[in-house]
Amino acid sequence: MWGAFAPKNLESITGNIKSYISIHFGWWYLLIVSVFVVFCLYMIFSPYGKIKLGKPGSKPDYSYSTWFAMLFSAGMGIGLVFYGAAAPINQFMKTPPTAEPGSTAALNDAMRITFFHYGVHAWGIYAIVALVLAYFKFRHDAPGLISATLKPIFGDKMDGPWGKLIDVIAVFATIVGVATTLGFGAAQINGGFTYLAGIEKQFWIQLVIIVIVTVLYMISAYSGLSKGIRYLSNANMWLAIALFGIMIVIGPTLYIVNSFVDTLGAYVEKITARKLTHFT
Amino acid sequence: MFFWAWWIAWSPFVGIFIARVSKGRTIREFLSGVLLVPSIVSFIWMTTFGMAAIEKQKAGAKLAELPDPQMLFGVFDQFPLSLLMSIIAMMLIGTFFITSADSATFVLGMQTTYGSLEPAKRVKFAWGIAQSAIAAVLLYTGGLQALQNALISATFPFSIIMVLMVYSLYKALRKDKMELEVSKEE
Repeated sequence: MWGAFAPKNLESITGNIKSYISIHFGWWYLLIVSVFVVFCLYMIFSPYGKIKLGKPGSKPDYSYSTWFAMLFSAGMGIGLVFYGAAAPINQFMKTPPTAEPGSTAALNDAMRITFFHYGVHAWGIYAIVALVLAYFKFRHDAPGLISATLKPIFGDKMDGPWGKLIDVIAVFATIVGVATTLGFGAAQINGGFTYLAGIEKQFWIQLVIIVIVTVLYMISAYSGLSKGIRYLSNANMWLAIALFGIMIVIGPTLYIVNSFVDTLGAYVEKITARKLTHFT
Repeated sequence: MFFWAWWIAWSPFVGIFIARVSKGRTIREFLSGVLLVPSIVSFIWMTTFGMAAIEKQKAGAKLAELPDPQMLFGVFDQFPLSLLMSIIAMMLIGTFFITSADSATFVLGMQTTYGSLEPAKRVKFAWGIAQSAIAAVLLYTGGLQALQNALISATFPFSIIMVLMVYSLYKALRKDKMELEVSKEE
């Protein structure tokens, strides 16, 4: 409410808190994302890896292809279309860490940083939250709430105000995250209209886009998870494959393949060397 | 740092959804699937569109001057079939958009009905309307930036909760494993 009616005031206060955290606790974020990746790798190779996120003998709800399509649509989705070209080129031309903008060194850095930001560290964060929730929910019949996953440490205290607080933070994060996603989506569709038809960025156009999308996703939500999201996720994959297929054929194919191999090599080398400070 | 905070900020939303669709997978299958496959796909995607853009930029196109929402369309414009690619991209943004909003409705419904796996349709309906209304109001007032800052700040306590979640999981798994060894159920 405050944010809606006095945006400038709230923006400067929250902006200050944000920059304080990013200046003084940047190391903490880098540390925990690295620890999460190491923990995930440990779990993959340890005997715990055999434990099922469900009752013994249960089968997965979705086929591999549908599962990957759903993971991908939920985890990256619009962000990938929005930043597919923008993230590398911004790193290359505007904000390379050390190299001269536009130079070959800047190009290598740009792709390497992009890989770092969209790679296993990003997915490791999602994987941790999802793994812990799925384990307690499907194996121990706990409610699917963040607070419920902390019961082995805090016991029944999680049924009280502290547990509520944690769940409220999760709901808040979801609402703001979704508002951001919807904002990105509306801006990107509007950007498409601007480019294709010369229609300028305007609030009412974005509003119309949001209203149309709302009607569509309500229909999808109404049809349930196994119909709506499943069909949509598969549609996303086919559209993404079509777009990628055209681009890789008519685009600079060799240049792309070479860069992919080089960057992937550098990426694997860096993350296994644990020199994370080389990335930021 | 900003990037990590963003992924953490999105993690309750995305994590709850991923958890819901992963029932019945083993931990090994789950982690390899969530960590490796989407990362590789992201890499291929970013290299393809990123290098196409960078090549044209180097050849003299002024792509870096475009605002981010127009960048991709600007890149397409440098190639043949640009209209076709733009139309597919618009459709893709549309379906991604609908998928995200739909899964968010589901996650919010789940979080506010004590973690139910099939939240009632009217709960989802209410959240659906609410989240679009919130997004529209924030776009209108420009309040989105303030809330995003607040969200980034909230990732700090949430990152501590995440560390506790990992510890809690580890604790429960050890107990689970001891029970398994006793009963040999699997």
